[in-house]
Amino acid sequence: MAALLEIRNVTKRFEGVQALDDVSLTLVGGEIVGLIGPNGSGKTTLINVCTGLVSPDHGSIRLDGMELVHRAPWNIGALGVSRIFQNTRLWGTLTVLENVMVPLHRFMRAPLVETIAATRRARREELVAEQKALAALRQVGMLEFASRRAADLSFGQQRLVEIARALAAEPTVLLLDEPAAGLRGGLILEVADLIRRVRDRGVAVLVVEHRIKLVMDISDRVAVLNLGRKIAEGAPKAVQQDPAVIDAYLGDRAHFLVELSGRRGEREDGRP
Amino acid sequence: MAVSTVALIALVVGMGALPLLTTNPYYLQVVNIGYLTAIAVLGLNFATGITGQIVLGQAALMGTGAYTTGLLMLRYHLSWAPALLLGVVSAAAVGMVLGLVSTRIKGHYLAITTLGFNEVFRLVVLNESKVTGGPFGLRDIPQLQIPAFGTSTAQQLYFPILLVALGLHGLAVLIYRSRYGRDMRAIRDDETAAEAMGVDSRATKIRAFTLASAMAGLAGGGYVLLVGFISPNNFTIADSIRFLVYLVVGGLGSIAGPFIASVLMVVLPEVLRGAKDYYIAIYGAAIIVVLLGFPRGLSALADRLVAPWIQRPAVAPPVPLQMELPATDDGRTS
Repeated sequence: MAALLEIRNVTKRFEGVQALDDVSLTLVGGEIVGLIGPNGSGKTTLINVCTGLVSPDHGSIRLDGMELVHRAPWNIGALGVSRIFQNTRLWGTLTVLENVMVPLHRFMRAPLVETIAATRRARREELVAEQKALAALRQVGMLEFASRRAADLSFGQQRLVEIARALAAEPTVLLLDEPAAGLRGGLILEVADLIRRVRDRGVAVLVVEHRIKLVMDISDRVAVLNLGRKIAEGAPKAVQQDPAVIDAYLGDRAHFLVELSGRRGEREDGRP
Repeated sequence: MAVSTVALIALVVGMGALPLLTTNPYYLQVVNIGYLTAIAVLGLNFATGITGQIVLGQAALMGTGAYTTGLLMLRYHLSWAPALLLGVVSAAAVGMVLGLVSTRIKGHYLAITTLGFNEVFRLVVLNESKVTGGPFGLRDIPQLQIPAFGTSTAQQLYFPILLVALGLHGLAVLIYRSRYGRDMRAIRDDETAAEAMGVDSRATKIRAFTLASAMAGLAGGGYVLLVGFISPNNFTIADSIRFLVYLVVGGLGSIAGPFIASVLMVVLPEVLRGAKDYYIAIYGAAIIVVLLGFPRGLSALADRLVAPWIQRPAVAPPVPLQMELPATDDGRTS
C-alpha cells in the first residue's frame, strides 16, 4: 500500500511569528508534491513538524493513520519518514560510508554484547548495512568517496551524500528541503531525475524548492505557503496562474511581504 | 611490517617489561596508578570525547566505585571480586541516572550539573563519617594479594592492571567502530541530524554514560585493591578536571592518545619531583606546549598506533562496481 502522510490543521507559533497557520496537506506514495513560498513562509517549519523536531501547537500529522505528533524524532525516522536538511548536516568526522550507514541502524537488532563479540548475526547485519549504504552512494555517484571524512567534501558532494543518507533507510516518505541548493546545473538535472525515480518506487516525496522552474517541472502537485498559510494547491500549471500566488510570490507585493516575514532569519539561499 | 605496528609492539612490550627492569615498588605503583587513571579517562572519553557530553564528575563516579568496593570489603567482609563487581555496578547505576539527566540538560549546563554532582559526592562522603570514615577516609582495606607475581602489592598487581587496561582499550576500539559507536559520534557531530536520521539519542547517551561510569567504577575499585586506602580527597572536582585535561591532551575521541597521555601525565610529576616547586610550572608548560603544538593532542601521534576509525580494508576504495547488491532499487527492506 502506498504511504499516506496527512498533515491536518497544523499551527505553530514562534514568539510572535506565525510560522504555520492551519496548514493541511496530504502526501501520497508515488507522487511528488512541490512546496514553494517566499522566505519565512514556513516551509522548513512544516518539514520540522513532520519529522518531530518541532511539535505543533495544534493539528495532527498521521502516517498511514498513525499519529506522529509528540513522537520522538528517531521513532518517526524509524517509521520511514526521512529528510534532508536545507544546509547539509552530515556528521563531519564520520566517513561518508558511516554517514550513510547510520540511518540503517534501524534495521539492526544485535545488542551491544553481540556486536562486541562479533557474532554471526552482528557481522551479517553490519555487512548488509554496508552494502546498502554503498548501493545508495552509487545511486548518487559518490561511491568513490566512501572512505573520506564527510567534512572534507565540497558542499555539492555533501548534498549528494545527504540524499544518499536519506535514501539508504528506504523511506516511505521523503522530505527534501531544497535538494538542489548549492548544486551546479548538470547535477540539478541528475538530482531531479533521481527524485523522479524515487517517486516511481512508490515513495511519497515533498520537495521544498526556490527555483520555480524546477518545482514546476518535477512536481505532480504544487502547494504554496505564504506567511504560514497555504494559499494555493493544485496542478503546477493551475498554481502558476493563480492570482493569489502571483500576488504573494511573484508580484511586487512579494518583496514587501518578504521584508515583513524575513525577520525569522530562515536561510533560503543556497549557500556556497 | 609498518613502522606504526613496530612502534605499537614496542610500546606494549615496553610496558610488559617494566617489572623486569625495576622491582622498586614506588616506581611500579606510580605506573599502576597511571594505568588505572587511563581506565577512568577512557570512560570519560566515551561520554565526552565520543558522544560529546561534557562531564566534570568522573572523579565522583570513580569514588562511587571505590567507596562501594572498600565499604563492602571492610564492613561486610566481602572478598575482593564481588566487592569490585558491585563497585562497578553501583558506579554504572549512578552514571545511568546522569545519562538520563543529560537528555534534558545540555552543553555547559550539563558540565555544571556534573560538577555539582562531584561536590555533592565529596560532601556526603566527608560528612557521613559513621559510614564513610569522613575526612579520615577508609583505611586498612585488604589489598589484593597475588604472591606468585612478586613481593610487593605494586609488583603483584602490575600485570593484572595492565592487562585490564589494554583489554578495555581494545574493547573501546570495537565499540567505537560498531553501530553503537557510530550513533555516539553522530550525536557528537550533530545531534539534531542524528535524531532525524533515527538515532535514539536518549538510549545512546544513557549507554555512553553507563559505559563511562562503569569504567570509572572499575578504576576506583582497582585503586582500592591496589592502595588499600581512600579518602574524599582522592575524588574531588580537581581530579575530574585533571581527567578532562588528560583526555584533551591525549586527543578527544582518540583511543590510544588519552591512554598515553594519562600514563605520562601521572608519571611525569613524580619524575619531576627532583625539580621541587618548579615541577608544577614545568608540568603546566608541557601541557601548553602540547596543546599549542598539537591541537588534536597526542592523538596526532598516537593514532598512528591505533586509529579506531580505520575500518576493515573492504571499505576502502576502490569498491568494485559490479558487486552483487541487495535490492534497493525496488525500495524493499530485506
